[in-house]
Amino acid sequence: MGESEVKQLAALVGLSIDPLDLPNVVVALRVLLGAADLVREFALADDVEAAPVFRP
Amino acid sequence: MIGPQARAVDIAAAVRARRVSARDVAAAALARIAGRNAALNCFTHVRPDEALEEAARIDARVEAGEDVGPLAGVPFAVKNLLDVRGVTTLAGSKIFAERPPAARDATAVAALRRAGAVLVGTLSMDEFAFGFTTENPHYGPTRNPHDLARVPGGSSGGSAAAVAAGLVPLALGSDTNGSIRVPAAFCGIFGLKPTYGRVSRAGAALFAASLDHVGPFARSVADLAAAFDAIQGPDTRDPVASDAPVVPCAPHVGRDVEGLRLAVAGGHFARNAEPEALDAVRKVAKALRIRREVELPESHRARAAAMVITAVEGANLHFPDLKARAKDFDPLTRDRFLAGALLPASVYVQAQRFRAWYRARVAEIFREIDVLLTPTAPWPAPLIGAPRTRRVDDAEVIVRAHSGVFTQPLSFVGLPAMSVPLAAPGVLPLGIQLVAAPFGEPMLFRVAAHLERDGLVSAPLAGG
Repeated sequence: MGESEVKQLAALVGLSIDPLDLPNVVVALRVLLGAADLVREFALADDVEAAPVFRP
Repeated sequence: MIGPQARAVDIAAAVRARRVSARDVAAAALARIAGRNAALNCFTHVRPDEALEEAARIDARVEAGEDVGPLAGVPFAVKNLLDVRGVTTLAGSKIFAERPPAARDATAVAALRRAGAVLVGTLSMDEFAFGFTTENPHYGPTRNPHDLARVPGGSSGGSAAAVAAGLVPLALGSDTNGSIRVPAAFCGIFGLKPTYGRVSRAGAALFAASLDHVGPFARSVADLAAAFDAIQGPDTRDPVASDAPVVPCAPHVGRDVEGLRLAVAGGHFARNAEPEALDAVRKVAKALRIRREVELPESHRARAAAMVITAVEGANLHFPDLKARAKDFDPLTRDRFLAGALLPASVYVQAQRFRAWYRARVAEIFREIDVLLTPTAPWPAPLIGAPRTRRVDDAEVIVRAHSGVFTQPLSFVGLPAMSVPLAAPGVLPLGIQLVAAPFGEPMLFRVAAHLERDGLVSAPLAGG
């Protein structure tokens, strides 16, 4: 995930990122994608559903 | 006489018995704030005239024989993310400074005032509650009263600093991933993140709504219970407020821990930290004669899922401003909100589904135990301006984010969790996190009060 990809991705969702901020956004997105990988790689049964309103 | 070390419950008793006037108590708190706030930078707004007037009204009611409530004349302050009528809710941002003053108090603020407490001001925080340090670039860093070179923790850093320094005996904050518990630990005081939905968030600027909680800070267990009892309960203004019956916690402060099933958390909670933080848990566990260790499975993944949910919900909330005026954000929050706006929807849904899985596993464990002990944070308060990363337990971690390594998995599934302070002369305080099943707050208070009676946890005044 590099700066040009993040710039394109941002444009797709309607955001424009200042070139000066781009390197830090790339770093932040890499951290989040690392967290996302941890979430995605864990197999959940189909019947595990998110509660529409979270109740503890 | 009522000094900075006085407990809220003792102040209230003295005011009710007319041994001291609420006005004098408020004036003393305002004088302390005037004397210390320049160094600590924990207040965003002080309301001396209103506080003195309100305190005088409490005195008049006491004089008239009215019951003025369990917190009669107790000065308090609130994180400036909770609405206070007539004050602009900045939520640590420059952007919200353009908003008009709040038209009414947040539910929790109103509840404390109904209980007789006197609001003296509002407190600093990380921008939009997205941080663990309160190094706010718009309004300057808040400083830890134990060591002014260090952060107080965040995002409710102003709340913790004000209570630790004895400026006020009570404060309110909010906790999405650890924002009450981490600053409570770094500043050496008690902080409670209640069960999700137990305390209304109405009138609080939201951050990540499915994770947001409101809760109290104090320097004694009895004070924390009195504040929590005043603010807990249902609220039609908050869509996630629980209708579960209210169980007052103050009566549990005098109870022992006999019969409670206690355990220490292993795995994720026994790694990822400096040795001193883990030693602190061992010390408390030994005093409580705990021999049982349990593991909450996949807690590192729970933390990751909480990060995903936080970033996505936060980015969603602030999307219009990210689009129109990104430069007005704190650079640290802007970069993370922008990144959150770019995550695919499927990951967010998967994180919410994983939450259901983890909640079920945790519920199974809490059928066997009542209260779980973990470190609150992996280290004592870091220095202001600390390097971005540091090595701990043979891994390179991001300092700001890693401060929540032990708090995030638990708020992720809404469990009540309290940070209790270990203090010792000449060293920075550390926090122990006590965790129970949903609505298990009374058990947390029993354990905390037991440790306080034994002298193992305490919150001596910091600095000054």
